[in-house]
Amino acid sequence: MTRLVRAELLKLRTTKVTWVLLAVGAVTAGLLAALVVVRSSTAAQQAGLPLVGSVAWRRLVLGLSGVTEYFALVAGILCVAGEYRHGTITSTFLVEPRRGRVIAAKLGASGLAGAVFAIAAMVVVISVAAGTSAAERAATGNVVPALPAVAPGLILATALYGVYGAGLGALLRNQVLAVVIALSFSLIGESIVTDLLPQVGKWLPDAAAASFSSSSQAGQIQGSAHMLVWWAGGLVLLAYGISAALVGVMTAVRSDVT
Amino acid sequence: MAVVEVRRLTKRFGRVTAVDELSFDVEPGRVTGFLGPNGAGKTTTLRIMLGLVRPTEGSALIGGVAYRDLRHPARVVGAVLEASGFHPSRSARDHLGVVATTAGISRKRVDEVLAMVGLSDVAGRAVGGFSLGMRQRLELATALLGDPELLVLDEPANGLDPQGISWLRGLLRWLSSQGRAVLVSSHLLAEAAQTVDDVVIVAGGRLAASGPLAELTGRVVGSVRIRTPEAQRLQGVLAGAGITAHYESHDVLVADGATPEVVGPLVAAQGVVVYEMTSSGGSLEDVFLALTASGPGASGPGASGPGASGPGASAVPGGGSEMVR
Repeated sequence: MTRLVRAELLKLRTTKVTWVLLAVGAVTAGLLAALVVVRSSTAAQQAGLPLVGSVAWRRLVLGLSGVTEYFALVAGILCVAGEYRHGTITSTFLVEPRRGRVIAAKLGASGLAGAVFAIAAMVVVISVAAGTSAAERAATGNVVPALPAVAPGLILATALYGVYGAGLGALLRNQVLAVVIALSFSLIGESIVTDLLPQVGKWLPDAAAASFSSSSQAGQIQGSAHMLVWWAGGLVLLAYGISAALVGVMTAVRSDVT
Repeated sequence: MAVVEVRRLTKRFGRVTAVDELSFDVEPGRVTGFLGPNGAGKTTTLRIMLGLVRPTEGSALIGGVAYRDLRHPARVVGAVLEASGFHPSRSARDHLGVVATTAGISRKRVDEVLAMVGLSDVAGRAVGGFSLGMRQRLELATALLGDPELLVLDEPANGLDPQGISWLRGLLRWLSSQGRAVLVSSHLLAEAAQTVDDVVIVAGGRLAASGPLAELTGRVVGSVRIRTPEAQRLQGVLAGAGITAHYESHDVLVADGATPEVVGPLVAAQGVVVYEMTSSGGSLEDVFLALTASGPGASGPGASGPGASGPGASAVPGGGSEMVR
């Protein structure tokens, strides 16, 4: 199993798109951080933004790294669906005919990739926050003190998004379809459901991730009544990935490779 | 013992029967040609053998077990399949590295197989820029990674230039000379005939014939072409022995249904001057056409019919059955 996970990590490393996703995710997080730093350090405090330099402010800014979750999601999808897209799944299944093990290794590797995505995004956000604050002559743009509170949840959430993506990839096999469905649901569909049915909404992937990644804790916008307990949120997100993968292994992945 | 045993293998896609109760063996140390027209079920059979497609009925066992139950498949079977792809942005070396890691094979072996197929110089380049022939070589390198005892190749000559085909032929012979079993599919019968020891011919998903190439081609009677300044006299001599011969040109006779073993002694006995004598026919095409004309499956497995004239009977360029040994 270790050898399969190592092979999957090697595949990710030797694929250009992985690095593109990693970079774009981190840069997006950096841009968001710059925006928030600039807006919150202008004379008129923007509504809803915590005081610059406060604990809440630091957590908010660092938590913006969480945007890379969507990039980890796509990387996870490509990890499985990309092999069908390029036909490399044939040689993968030739070398390891136990397909369930291959998919399990992909879930693991995508999770690890997600963790790396989160770390990269946080490094960029920390640098950007410091740089932008200096340029804005703000007192302190150092968000490093927020790391212990933010990093564990954020890394876990991004990792689980990678797992969730790999599960979706195994379920749908078509990478374009899987990316479109996953992103449109996460970015649009979920907020619609949450608005209409908050009781259902809290069980959805984004809300589950928000229950333990700190961007929401810092924002304190969502009512915590409509939020799962952090550990339940983690399990729910993990369950999405694993159940999608299980259904995928029993249906799509099991079918003939022609 | 046979390396591959296919028994009553059947695969239906909906209402279409792609493979129909197919049975054959593949022996070690020999190149077995898996031949038939496009759409005969060759690729489906190979993919079932490799665990990629599930059979509807029957079995295809490798060393006595199904592919899915092989502990280290890459060390037992190397496969080159059509439509198996490469990630375009990955280099040849990384592609092999990925497969080696998955199979638990040392990365040192990657450079060995790259050299074996002549891709060492381009190993660091992205496969996206490779020609069809280079991709085919990389497929072969992938198949050879685990030093397998069985090679399964689906139309490996596709995309190769004449030089590449000749190289491939040499490689297959070399691999089988080491005691490996080589199963190679092709729809190009004349090309395959130059490489294979045994043939399995399929048509419409059913077995048309199987057995050593020499036995099969020996079953189809060919003709002998004789260039002689005494054409008219020779025609009379042949007629005396009950052989009809017609003129191809003023000094060339073609004796239908004859073999050099029959014509040679006649010519010697009558002292006819002969400049050139070649036998033709008995080619794999002739065998194939004869078999499929009489209906698929008409001559079952283990074909060793009458008139098997043994190797050498038709060792002539142009007679498709030239054996490269």
